Amino acid sequence: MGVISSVPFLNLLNCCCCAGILGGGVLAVFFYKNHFLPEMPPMTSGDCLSVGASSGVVGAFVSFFLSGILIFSFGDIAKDFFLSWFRNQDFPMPPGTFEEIERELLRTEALFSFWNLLFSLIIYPLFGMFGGLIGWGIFKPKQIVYVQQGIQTPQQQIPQQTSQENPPSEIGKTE
Amino acid sequence: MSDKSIFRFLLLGTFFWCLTILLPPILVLFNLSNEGAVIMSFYSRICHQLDSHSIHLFGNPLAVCARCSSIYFSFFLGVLVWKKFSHTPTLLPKESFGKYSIFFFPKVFIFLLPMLFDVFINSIEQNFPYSNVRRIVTGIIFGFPFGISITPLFIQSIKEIFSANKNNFKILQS
Repeated sequence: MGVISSVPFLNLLNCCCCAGILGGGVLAVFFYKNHFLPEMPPMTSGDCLSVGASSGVVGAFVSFFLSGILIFSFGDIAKDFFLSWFRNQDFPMPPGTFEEIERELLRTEALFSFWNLLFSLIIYPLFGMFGGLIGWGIFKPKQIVYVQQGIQTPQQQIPQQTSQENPPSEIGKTE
Repeated sequence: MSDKSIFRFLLLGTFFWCLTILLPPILVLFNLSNEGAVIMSFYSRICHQLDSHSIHLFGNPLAVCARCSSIYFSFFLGVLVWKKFSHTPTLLPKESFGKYSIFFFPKVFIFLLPMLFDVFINSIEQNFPYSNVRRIVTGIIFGFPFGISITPLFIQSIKEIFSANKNNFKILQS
């Protein structure tokens, strides 16, 4: 997640609704799932939410420091590339769009500002959390049923003898 | 932690998120441009904020572009009306949606296709006319079902994390 967000050009993925951050959460769940042994209880959606949020926190710090290192070492490669590319092309854009893009790209921000890190620490865990939930939706174990001890399972709730007054319950009926 | 309180927390969070998106143009009206700029700076990390791609309120753009705005607002609506699509009281997503199982993961990602198609076409076909209406529509098509789909999952997850009897849950694998 941190690498996707800090590497030039790769960080454009985050323009698609933070797809890079969401993908980082999904990937974290994928690697988390691989640590489960058959005898262990399967992962839960709560675990995946926590994993996604944690990966977001780590990703925020990694992105913050890695982007600083890359820019200090190589300069802002992406900004220079896009500026020269836009100048050399002749795209049919709405009026004022090119000037706006140029203005945004030339805008400089403090690399190691407190606000930069703070905003990242809010956004990354938030989207990472949703990425974790998406990851659970994709990688969840096969159909499982959570039953609290002392409460009958759905199968046990079906009465032994059916009657007109008490038809069989369909609570918890699965496909 | 009850289901209702978790749901209210999620609803409040998404409402606050949508409200802050609307704030920058409103703050400019009250001569609070600096505060609006802080909010714009916050959302600049998740959106390109191009003026021509944004919805305008009182002559100023919202904090995110038209597509992102429609996704977030429709996501909020999806969270709000999730219960209307819920089949049973249980929060296990598949059982929760019943005949509306299209909202269950991973089927819900089918609603992502129109948006991806729109982005793809705009990026490769330079003569394809730009349209904020198309961005808004594709954003709503994705955001609304996603909000419906993620809500029971979120509630279940938070409940599991904060459940005092978590260790008492016996997991049966069918």
